[in-house]
Amino acid sequence: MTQLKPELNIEDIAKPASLRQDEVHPDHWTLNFGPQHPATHTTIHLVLTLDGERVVHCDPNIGYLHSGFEKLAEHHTYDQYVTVTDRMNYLSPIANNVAWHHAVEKLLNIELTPRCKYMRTIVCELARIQDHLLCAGELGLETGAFTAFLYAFNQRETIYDLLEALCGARFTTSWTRTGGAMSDAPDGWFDYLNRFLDEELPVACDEFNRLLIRNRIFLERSVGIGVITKEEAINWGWSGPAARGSGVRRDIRKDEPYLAYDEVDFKVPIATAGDVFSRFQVRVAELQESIKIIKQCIKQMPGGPIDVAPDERVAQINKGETYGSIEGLIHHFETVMSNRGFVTPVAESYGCIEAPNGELGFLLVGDGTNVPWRCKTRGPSFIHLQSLNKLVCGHTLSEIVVSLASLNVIAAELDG
Amino acid sequence: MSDHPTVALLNDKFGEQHCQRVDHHGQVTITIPKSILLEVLTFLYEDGKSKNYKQLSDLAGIDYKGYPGDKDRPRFAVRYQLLNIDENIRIAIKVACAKEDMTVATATTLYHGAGWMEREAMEMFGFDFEGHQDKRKLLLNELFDGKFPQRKTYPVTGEGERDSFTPITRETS
Repeated sequence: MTQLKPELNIEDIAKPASLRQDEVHPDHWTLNFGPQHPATHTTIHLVLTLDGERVVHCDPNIGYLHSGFEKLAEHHTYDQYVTVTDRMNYLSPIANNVAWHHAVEKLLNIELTPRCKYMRTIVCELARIQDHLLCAGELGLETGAFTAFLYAFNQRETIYDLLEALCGARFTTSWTRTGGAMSDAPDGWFDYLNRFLDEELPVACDEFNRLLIRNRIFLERSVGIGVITKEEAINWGWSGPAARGSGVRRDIRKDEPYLAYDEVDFKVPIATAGDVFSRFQVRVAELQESIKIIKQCIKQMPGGPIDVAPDERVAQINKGETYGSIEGLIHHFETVMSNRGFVTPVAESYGCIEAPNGELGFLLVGDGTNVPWRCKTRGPSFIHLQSLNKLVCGHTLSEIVVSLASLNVIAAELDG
Repeated sequence: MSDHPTVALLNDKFGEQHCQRVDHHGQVTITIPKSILLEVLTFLYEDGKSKNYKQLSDLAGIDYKGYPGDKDRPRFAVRYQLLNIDENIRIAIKVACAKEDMTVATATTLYHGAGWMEREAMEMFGFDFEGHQDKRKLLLNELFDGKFPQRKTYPVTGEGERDSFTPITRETS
């Protein structure tokens, strides 16, 4: 029988909340926060044990948006499943597409074309801007600063327009394919993107910052709230801007470089206080770094095809050739039909990227066919929400809302 | 290509016959017997001489029924994806379980983050993580009592759980 390590408290490990009145503490009462509540970011149910207004224990009860994504993966091909990944972190759907195909290409050991790497880097950083705009704005919203939220949210419209020009859909982009992408950037896309990054976004970021960063009410409601230390953050599995707000020096873009991140120059912001405000600061600073990354990618954009060569037997070739030549048709059959060209190794692989929320990883077990045997999604929201009790214990009811917003928990990625 | 720095330490401490290693393009997976799981995880977590894997990135259950080569291996496996942040190394540890004996030691004594990951594996596959303080269902509701949806024997369209929802008509509402 193993002993608990001294610094781990058994109360930290979630205990079931009881609805009977506690004999030792008759003042404690139970409150349901959610699942339907405007402040819980869609369907998250928290069973709170409160002492007056102070939280004694917070027990998240999740699963309201569980759609069996992992089971679905076992019945879809690698290129079909990308449509499901859109629906995971729905604030930055194209980053999930990139994460999925990054994991697939890691399993299949495919090297992308340089142009594809740069395009995927650009859309990943656009997704990061999308996510951080909403998350940082949302923190303002939770504290009542509705204007800051709207200023930030408005910029996402331009990003939606850019993605619509790129792949036809604002939201459910499903842009990546194995070995490449669905489409290349249309004419004028980079000019539109440059205009957005030079003229619209910095102005909005500046306005939005001025409303919040030195706002005394915002600071009082976020500094010192929901604190987690660096060692605890690592132990609870945190990653991404939430962990970097506590001083964890880890960014997959720098530590395990993928796509074009080792060819662009950018900094990784890290804060040390570990509270809600430092997570906010990290996100806002990352926004600025993302703008720099995209500008460098546009300048260094290589030419060439976006899909890997047809010999790799993974990427679909364009429809003109499929319908126009017999070789094209054969190639199409080889990649699409289930027991033909698209061959995966009988092996396991874990591939992850630095999604806006943290480390988004997929464990893929390949069985030789073009359908995954097992796909386990490692979603950062799931890992972060576990430690909510640790963050809000001892705080008041209003601070739960702010702590939850700083974690950027998205229900679809949470339940999956 | 330099070898993975931890594999030699694991082989020395636990014996090479117990640590079966599989490589896939730079990713190392070590399969160990279930009985020594907690010792191996503790060794990787904090032994002063080894590289310290302070973060558990992912914990996944896998059902191998119908997989190529499934006759030679137990049906289920649990895979621990560990991360050493200081040295930036990853390693994966796997333990295999047969359907008759799904008890595995819990990793929550070392990694707090394993709490919910193990709860999900318990309800989806039927593992029993011994020593876990909270074995309630996490994502599923009581309609799935006794069923393990992510096993290969469970159909993707379900077993009629939602047929029990009574349709509400204008007359009955």
